Amino acid sequence: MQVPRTPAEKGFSRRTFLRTAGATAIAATGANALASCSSSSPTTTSLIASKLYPSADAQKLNDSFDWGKSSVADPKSSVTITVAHSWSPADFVRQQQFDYFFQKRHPNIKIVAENAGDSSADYLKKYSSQAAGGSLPDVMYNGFGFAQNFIGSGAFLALNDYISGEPNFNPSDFAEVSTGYYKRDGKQYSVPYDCGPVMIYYNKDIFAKAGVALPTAGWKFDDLRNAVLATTSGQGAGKVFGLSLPVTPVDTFWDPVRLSPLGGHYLSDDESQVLLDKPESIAAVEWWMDMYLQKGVFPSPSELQGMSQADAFALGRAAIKVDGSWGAPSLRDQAAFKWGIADWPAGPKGHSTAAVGSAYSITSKSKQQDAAWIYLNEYLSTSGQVFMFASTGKGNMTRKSAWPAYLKSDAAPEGANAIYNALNTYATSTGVVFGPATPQITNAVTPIWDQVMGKSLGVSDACKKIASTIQPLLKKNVAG
Amino acid sequence: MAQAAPTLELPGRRTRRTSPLARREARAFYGFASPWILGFILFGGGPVVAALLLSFAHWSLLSTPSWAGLANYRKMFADPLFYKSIGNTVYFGAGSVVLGVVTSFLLAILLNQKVRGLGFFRTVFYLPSVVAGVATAILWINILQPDSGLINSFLRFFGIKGPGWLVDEHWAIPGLILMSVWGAGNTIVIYLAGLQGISPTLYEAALLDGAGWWDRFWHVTVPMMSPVIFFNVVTSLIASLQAYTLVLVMTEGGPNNATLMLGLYIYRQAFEYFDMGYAAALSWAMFALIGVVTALQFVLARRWVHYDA
Repeated sequence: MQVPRTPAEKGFSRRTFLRTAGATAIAATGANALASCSSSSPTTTSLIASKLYPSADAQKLNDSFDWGKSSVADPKSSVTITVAHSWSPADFVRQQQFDYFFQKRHPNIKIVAENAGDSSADYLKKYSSQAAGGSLPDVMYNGFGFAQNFIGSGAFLALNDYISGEPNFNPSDFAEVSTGYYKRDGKQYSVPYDCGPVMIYYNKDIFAKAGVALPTAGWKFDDLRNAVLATTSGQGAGKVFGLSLPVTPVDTFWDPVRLSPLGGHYLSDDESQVLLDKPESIAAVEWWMDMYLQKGVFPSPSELQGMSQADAFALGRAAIKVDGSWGAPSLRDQAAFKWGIADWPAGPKGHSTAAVGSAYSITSKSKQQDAAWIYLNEYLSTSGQVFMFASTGKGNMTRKSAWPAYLKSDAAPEGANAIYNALNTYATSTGVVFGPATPQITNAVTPIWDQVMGKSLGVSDACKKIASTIQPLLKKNVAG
Repeated sequence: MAQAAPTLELPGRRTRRTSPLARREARAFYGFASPWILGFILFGGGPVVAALLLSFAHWSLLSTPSWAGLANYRKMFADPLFYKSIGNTVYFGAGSVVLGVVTSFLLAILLNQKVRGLGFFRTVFYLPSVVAGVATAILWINILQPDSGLINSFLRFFGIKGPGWLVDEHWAIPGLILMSVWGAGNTIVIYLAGLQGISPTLYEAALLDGAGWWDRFWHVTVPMMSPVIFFNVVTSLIASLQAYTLVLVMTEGGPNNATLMLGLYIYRQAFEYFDMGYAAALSWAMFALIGVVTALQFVLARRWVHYDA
């Protein structure tokens, strides 16, 4: 299940003039251009509030926790640490509330919070540019998809010594699947803060109208297929789809979610070999695609264009959405129909789903690593996760001990117990594509799959073509 | 006359060099221009030179750059997607410029007529130019939708089954070309200014000679407007060859790489694959492409652009 992977690049000779020229240019252009998309909050000296996060509630919640004490002593004089986040503007308010209370507890640690917005792509551009300019923050957010690039380049500090020296940290409290993305050579480089499994979201109204029983924990792949076929109906703008989004290899989770339960695989576990052209893998892909090719159970490219690329489930036009549990909060706020979450069904060859998330790291060149650890330890403690995730309805906490508060809250959707169950039992990182070659793989398979979706290329031929196209790209996953 | 010219110039030059007023003016000029000059050198010239150096390096942003010699350029010339993107870029650039220049020129002529509500019409045609790029893209995704989009619905009215536009690889670039006319407002304004600069006496003379509307258009308007047309062709083509935002939002280079433009390919290499060296090499290829195309236009301009107004 675990994933020590190779980084994108390694072992370069030094060319100082190039580095200087490149760093200057990128830092000047990239960082300055992207700075306009981000916000920076100098040390928070007052309690910021919003309609979503009133100050009185925040104060009350904060006061209800025993925040404990780190084994690392607070600095004797004032120090400042910079923390990089990837929050939406609304959720950044909650972050600033946490920082305010943290600074009250640790008067000698000042926090400067940077927020690049909730686009991973923008975040990555900004902090890759800053890495090139040698100006990374002390603590930074990172996602499962790109953490290994930073780890491999030496940008993050191994946290094992801090973790082992912290009696109350309790590593076993973290869902096992959440930690693997941030390990390398036996060392842990990040503390995961959220991790969500891919689940079934279902539209109760559509199920009822079609007379189909709602998904249950005991569902099998055949139950899923029967429901998808039975709920697909209509034509044109009034068409209802059984599944909201296309089945595609661009989905980096499709191996553990769709193929592995049917006995197929996309890549080998170390992402060095393509397995999609094996007969069992082709059969697994055909199992899904036959439903599209014969009954149009999910939107075609032109149907997607007709919905402005929007999610048919959110529009109330699909019975089932296959998505990570992180999609629940936006559905809770926006859906105009009754919905629920259920376990991903078991296939004839096994039961698995993908679980992915994000984490925070301390950068290796930080001059305030102790202060950064005190912050990280508190931020991702049980209390910190309840403050940031359980109480806000986001869910997906990585600490098992933070889940009861969420499950008891009004914000937990119907089926939230299934998320917790999946995260700690059958969810896996095995088969999730996240090696350094992932973007190239995605862009290489897209044009091939366009032809399958356009019905000008058969599934079997497409799988073989994908295999021959991306096999050379996988060298990047094993380089160095 | 041959002796008079230097006599007239030299005192002037001496005056500019020695006059306190001229020196003050020069200082003021450079003072006011210095933010732009510094900005250009630091944020324009610096990255251009750095990109040239980086094109000879391997660099992933997170690592130390290493010398690569001509490896990035060799990779570029062996990369089928490079040629695909060049072909798509030139196709889109040529198509959008021809359609855009012709359409906006004809619209400018219409908007130059003395009719009631002229201000309203000029505003309406200019308005799309101020709509944000992403909003324009989303609007056109709907307009070009194969089943329920405005264009195919219009075609269906005449019994014509419209193409799949953005989802059909043969029609995706024509769809983008069609959309590019949407932002013709700026070009129209430039044409309008040019049209209003044509002396009415030329048309009066043509009328006296018995010229019809076509002759007046072809033998007076077009030649007199040729420098303006040339300006618009050059600037529009440079912009079209760098097309990126709309393609990223509307098609992401698909279907089947049919709209993979060079700008998008550079973006992918730089900020998706973090192969900055190769991205820099591709950037210089784009620079060369734009340079060659622009130079070609200047050469051809000698045959059809008239500056003898």
